[in-house]
Amino acid sequence: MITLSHFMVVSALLFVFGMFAVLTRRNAIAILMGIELILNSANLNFVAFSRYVVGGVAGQMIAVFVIVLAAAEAAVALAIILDIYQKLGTISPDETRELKG
Amino acid sequence: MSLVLFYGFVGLALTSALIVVTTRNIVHAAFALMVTLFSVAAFYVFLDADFLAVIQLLVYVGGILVLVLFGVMMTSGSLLVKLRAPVRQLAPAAAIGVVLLGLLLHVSIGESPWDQFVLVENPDGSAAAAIQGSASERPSLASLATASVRPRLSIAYASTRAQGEGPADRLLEQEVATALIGAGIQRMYVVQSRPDTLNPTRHVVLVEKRVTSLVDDHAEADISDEELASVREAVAGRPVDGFAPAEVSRPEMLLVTGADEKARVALIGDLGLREVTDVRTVVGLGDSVMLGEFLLPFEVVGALLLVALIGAAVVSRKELEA
Repeated sequence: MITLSHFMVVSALLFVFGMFAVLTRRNAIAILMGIELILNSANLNFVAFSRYVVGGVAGQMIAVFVIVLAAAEAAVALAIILDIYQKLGTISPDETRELKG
Repeated sequence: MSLVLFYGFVGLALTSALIVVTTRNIVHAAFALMVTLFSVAAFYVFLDADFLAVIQLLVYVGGILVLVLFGVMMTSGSLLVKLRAPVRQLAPAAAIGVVLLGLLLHVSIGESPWDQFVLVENPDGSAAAAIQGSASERPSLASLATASVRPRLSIAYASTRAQGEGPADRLLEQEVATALIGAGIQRMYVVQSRPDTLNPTRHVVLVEKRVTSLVDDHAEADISDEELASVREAVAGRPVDGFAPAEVSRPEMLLVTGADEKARVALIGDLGLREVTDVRTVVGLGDSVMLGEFLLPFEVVGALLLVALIGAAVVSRKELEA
């Protein structure tokens, strides 16, 4: 029988992987991929809790929200990344420090 | 079978996620991410969220991933050199990851209040004792039925918004019934509570079928007229606040479908039972929910996406002018 714990463990692992990518990568697009992993793990928890504990579809509705947010975020972030690349010739977050005082 | 499938997808998801994190080639990372997202869509199917699984495939695999690949293409000046994605801060990140993973796993696997699933207990606490006795096993229909002290009457509540008539509801009844039969319980009545058409504040409780008849689908043949009549007399036609199960011919379990929150509380309160938690909620996210109950959030989501798209277009347009 598949229990809530199964999903929670998978979600925890995905979250940690995503966070690891965000912390270690020096490529803005790779960091974006890490963020997508984190959002997916959160989504999985929302849906799993909605299915096993709360009941109803509220959790799924939140998951739809998160998916759309992720899509919007990816679209805007990639546009910004392209812009930065045009201006600075790099997308490493360590080297783009134009706003540093 | 489904468990094997589930573990297969778990393996797929975690392996590909690991590749996303570790590979030095960012195009490989993007394709591994596709596999991860696909596996998550499969998990949604396991959670009865079919609609969400489709959304996941359309938006993530079809949309976001293509965007990411375009991003990779446009930002890698000379393909062979810049496709590499260097890493930094490996040791601290690993340390933080391990600590966080430990915490999360502790919460996920350790004693958790939310993982008990099915039932409502008997007032004398025998069911509760039986459940707590088998601590290694999660409380379930099966563990309750195999307990040495079987409760006289329990209610398994299935919350469904469809007033107990949709195909999902039918499926739920079947599932629960199968579990019960497997656990040796033979006499369970499916009770439906729905608002009285004349007086909506009252709820009529209708006795439907016995559990054995649910499985082989011969409802009328399986339950005798007198039996049905006696249960009906005690339960049906009465408003919920007059529901007195002691008079019923001792069913071992009632499955209440279609009851709203208030009716359920009234039922349980009257029986002197304590509710542990839901049975299972099998409700998909479909058109009716999207355009009904959750219309406003749905609209907000749509507006948000539109704003983001326009924003993205504006950002990249400025770059052309400059």
